[in-house]
Amino acid sequence: MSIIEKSDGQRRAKSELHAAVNDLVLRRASGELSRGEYEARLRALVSASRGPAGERAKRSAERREGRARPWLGENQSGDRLAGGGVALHEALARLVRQRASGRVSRSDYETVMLAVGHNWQYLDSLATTLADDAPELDGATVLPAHSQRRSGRVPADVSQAAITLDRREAQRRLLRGFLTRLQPDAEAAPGRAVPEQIAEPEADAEPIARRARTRFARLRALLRWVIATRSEIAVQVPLIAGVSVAHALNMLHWPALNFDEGTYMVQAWAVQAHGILAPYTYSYGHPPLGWIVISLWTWATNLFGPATYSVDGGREFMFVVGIVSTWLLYVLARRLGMGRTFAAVAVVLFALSPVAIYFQRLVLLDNLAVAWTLAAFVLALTPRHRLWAYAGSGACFAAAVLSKETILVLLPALMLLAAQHADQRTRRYCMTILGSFFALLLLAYPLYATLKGELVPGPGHVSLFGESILQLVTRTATGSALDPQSAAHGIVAFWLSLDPWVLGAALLLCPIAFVYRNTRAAALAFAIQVAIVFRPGYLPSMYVIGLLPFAALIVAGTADGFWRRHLRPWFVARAEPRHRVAPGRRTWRSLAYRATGWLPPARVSASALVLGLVSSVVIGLVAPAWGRTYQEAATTVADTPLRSAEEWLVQNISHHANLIVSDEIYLYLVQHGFDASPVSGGFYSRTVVSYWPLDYDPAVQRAFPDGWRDFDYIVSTQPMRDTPVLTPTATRAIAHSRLVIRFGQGRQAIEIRAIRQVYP
Amino acid sequence: MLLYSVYIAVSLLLGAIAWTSLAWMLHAWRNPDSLMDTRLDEDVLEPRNSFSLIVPARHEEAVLEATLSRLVTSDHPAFEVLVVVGHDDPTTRAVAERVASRHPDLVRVIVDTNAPKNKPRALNTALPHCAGSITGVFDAEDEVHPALLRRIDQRFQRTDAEVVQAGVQLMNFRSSWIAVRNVLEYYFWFRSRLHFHAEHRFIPLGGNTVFVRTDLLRSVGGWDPDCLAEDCELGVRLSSLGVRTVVVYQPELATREECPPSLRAFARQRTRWNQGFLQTLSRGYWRRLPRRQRALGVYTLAMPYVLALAWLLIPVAIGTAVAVKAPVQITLISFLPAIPTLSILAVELAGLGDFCRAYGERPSLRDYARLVLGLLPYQAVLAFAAARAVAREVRGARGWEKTQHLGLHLTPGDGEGRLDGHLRVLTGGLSSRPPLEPAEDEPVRVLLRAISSIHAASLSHPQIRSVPRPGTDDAALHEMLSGLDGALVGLERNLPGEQSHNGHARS
Repeated sequence: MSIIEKSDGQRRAKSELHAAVNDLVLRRASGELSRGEYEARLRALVSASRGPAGERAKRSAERREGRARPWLGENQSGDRLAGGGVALHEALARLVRQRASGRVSRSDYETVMLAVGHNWQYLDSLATTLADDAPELDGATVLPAHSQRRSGRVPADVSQAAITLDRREAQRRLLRGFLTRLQPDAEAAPGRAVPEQIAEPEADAEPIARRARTRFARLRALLRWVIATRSEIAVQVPLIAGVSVAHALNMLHWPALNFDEGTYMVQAWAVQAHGILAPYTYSYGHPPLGWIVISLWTWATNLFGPATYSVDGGREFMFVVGIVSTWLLYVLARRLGMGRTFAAVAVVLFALSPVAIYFQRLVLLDNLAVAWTLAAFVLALTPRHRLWAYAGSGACFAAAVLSKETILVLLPALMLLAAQHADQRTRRYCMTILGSFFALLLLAYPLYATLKGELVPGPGHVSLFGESILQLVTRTATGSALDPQSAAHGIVAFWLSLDPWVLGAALLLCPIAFVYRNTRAAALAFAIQVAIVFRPGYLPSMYVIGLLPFAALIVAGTADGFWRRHLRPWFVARAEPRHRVAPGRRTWRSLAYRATGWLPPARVSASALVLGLVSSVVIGLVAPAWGRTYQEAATTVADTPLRSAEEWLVQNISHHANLIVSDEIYLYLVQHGFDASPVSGGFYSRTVVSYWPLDYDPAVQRAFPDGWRDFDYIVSTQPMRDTPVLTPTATRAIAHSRLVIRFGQGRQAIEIRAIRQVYP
Repeated sequence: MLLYSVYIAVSLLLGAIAWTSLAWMLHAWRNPDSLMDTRLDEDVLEPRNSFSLIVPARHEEAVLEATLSRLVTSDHPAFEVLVVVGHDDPTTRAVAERVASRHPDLVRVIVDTNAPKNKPRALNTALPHCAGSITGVFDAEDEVHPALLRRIDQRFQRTDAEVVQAGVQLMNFRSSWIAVRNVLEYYFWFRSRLHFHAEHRFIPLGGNTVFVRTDLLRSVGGWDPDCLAEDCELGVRLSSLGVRTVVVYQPELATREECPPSLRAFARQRTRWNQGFLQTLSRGYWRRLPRRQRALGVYTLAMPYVLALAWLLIPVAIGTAVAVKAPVQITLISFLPAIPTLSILAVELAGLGDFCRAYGERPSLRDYARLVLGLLPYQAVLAFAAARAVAREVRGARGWEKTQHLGLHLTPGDGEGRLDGHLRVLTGGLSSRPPLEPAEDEPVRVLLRAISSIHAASLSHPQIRSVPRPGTDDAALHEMLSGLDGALVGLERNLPGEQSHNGHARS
């Protein structure tokens, strides 16, 4: 046997021979070939190949065939066992049982499963026969293989193979039926008698699988996948479509501009246009990943033209982010074990709540952070416990924290979720890799600060630590949320005025969510953030964005848990004799029984009551409130003053005039012709200046040494007027100016005021 | 601009190297099913193969007896042990023949008369005498689990593999700062990385606890007599022929070994392996493989050199970035390789905990500290070994630098008492001495032989172990004890400055 001198061609021939033998054995095992035919073909194959390769092929075939025989009810000499025709399902049941008890190795099991599964038509007819005879196979008496797997009775690959063997409903029911009959002591439960005689396959029935391979294979596979996941598609597509419509209608006009939106868009512009993190000195207020992503999006979507940065473009991106978050929330709800209905309820609560319609349209870093966080949670629930999914989860959460640092408080919830879900055998490494990827990617931010020499406070430069201390400690508190006079109370009241139902229900159901295992992490995330809302300190008004997905998960998750534990068994239990009421006792249950012949258990009444209550609340109270918001969101145009002001400025103000503006107007002006050239000190535009840096950036103060007197115009907006103490230069400029034109009315009016008279 | 792109390319390359290390290190744990697949199955099939176990021994009289005594207790019905000793090594030969006289049907001594002695020649000498259908190789200092052979037999029956590599594990992670890193390296190699290689059909085999079908081994001509890493070379040769290898690792059944006792011995061992890798590369069998496996093969064989270069380049890269004042984005990219590298460190820390849980040990804070602080020195030693290997290969110095074994990994029996304490102190103290010339180390060798015999006896003596084992009796024990007394007296006379212990080792 001179293996060393074998050529490539011979080696290829050898593997082809093995493949041919394999195929032959499979066809024999599935019953396609009779024994005589099989032996003849095997002999032909073996004699066609020379010498020892053929011998080995023959031995390998014998080995495989020998292993396949008992499962098909044949003894070792190939005779059928007594009892008439081979009941394929009996063989399958035996096989699955043997695999469950560990007596059959994985490779053998897969060989035969594949072999049997090749004969789709046969299985189909078998399944139909069985389905007709055994209606209890459909419905929830059958514990899903999934939960049996979790309780350890069925090894993973058995349940997986059983369920993925064919996605068609009939076969799935068939195999579920086998799994229910498996008992831990390997005794078959006395189930329904299965029919002895199953129709033998026709001699020339070619497996569909082989036909698919030859023609339009991919298209067929795609169609089969679509049909198999049709229920998921039927739920997800309308849901996403509905959410898209609700988010997109009038999204550019309705929530009036939030001050931060302009800031983030102008920073995104600076990233692409000038390669720096902010148009003025980047002062580590927030980590920059959020607006870097916005900038990437704007660049990508404007590849065939100049990139125009505007809050409109940002809102379009937020629409996309909202759809992604919505889909991620659905997947998360499903992976937490909720049924499709309840996952859809969770999505509705998250994406269609008025709070969501308001806040998720705004260009805010929280929306991005929430999307990354949901991705992290989804990855941590990887159904096959893949290690690298945990790494991805850590990386996504690092991206979330690098978008908005306040989301860091959710780390315990993510850790809890990952630790709960990780398989005990690989948990150590999964958690290690999650933690290390998270920590190492997060360290990029302090590393960046260190490389720029801006980590610790010092003279003449901003610093990461200095800014963090400012944010955490010295920033003006909004007061306690419980104090009716404080700003925090006003913020929380605003959230509740938009929609009290989701947040309120979540707050009420939070304790129950802690009890149920699969909502525990969401409850923790919600509880941590609620605790932060109520602590004294600074509360940003967009904090509710982080609360919302977990509120939705809590409400839907507890409802789902309640349904599973208490209500659903009611639907599937049959009337047992012991529930029958003694004759003569007259209760409403006995009356119902006499009327319908059917007796519901006693606890149903409470459940039915709760269900009725919830539905009436929803229909009577929640729906109208939400409807009012939808109408407002779809019809109100709130940004007319801003757009008119911008247009007026471009048309009427000379490009040589010096202007004090807020960030969104700065962005608009520099992209519509106003001066955007670099000025020494690291900022851009000699004439248009944003009002915050006037008081805080030494470079700007050097360029305009006379302060407000160097300027011709100031565009006064509500945020500018609301912070008189923090921005004294702008305040003094407003005080020393005269009104030129006003757009809008009341507190939100935008006034263009002239300071000097040099340029009209 | 060009400098920056070179810089980025180098950083990305280093990152890719670190990434492959991390990914292969975690290969076994990528999902729970893959972890379960690395284990051996339950013992259900009847043994059908016969085993020939080759144990090459050279100057191993300290540990050989214990190894062989344990090996013959394997509960497989059909195996034989072939001990290969050199013709110029009478002491080891005496030990081997003593064991062979106790088990004449199981153990045979084969004398290797080759002129330059090395392990592959010893193995090739034994190969014609192998009567079993599967040939296994064990080292003279191994602690083999008795149930291993049956499981290996079953694995051969269940799969159509022609080679089965079972797990080897270094155990003495507390011996020195380098031991903990060495132990973890073995743990990850046998638990995870070898499985990756086996799946991708390119495997540098280990020279220990490896089982190959005898007819296959004979047909490929055995081991390469001149290669310094004959196991790796055999693995590469078999991979290039398309032979299927299966790797199994189970903590209870892993073969237990010890780390090289000193830093110098460790560096010599690694130099030998690295030189062997170079020789394997130059043999060129890997060229027969298809393209992807060829790339994998070259990368694996060149790994010590690649890693040495990488670890030298990392500080250079960072230092350059900081000194040259490159734009912050470029410098950030140069820090990218830190992510997989530090993740590897985190995984190693988790691995220490995993190892200790699997083997019933308890790690202390000192072990974790040694692990973290030893990272850079360990890589420095490996880089030094790689450089030394290149130098030796260029010079043509191909002598086999043997690793000394002192039995540091052997565990005492249930009766752990003063005897064991004395023995540990003695062996520990002696291991720090430089190896003696053959002329002057005779008393030491006598002493060590006696000590190892005591150890072996204590493992098997019925009064010390609760479960009596066949094959030993009181007379043999008394003989060994009097030998110990005599050796200690001789030691006191001949080795000035050594502490003398009252070796009243009667228990």
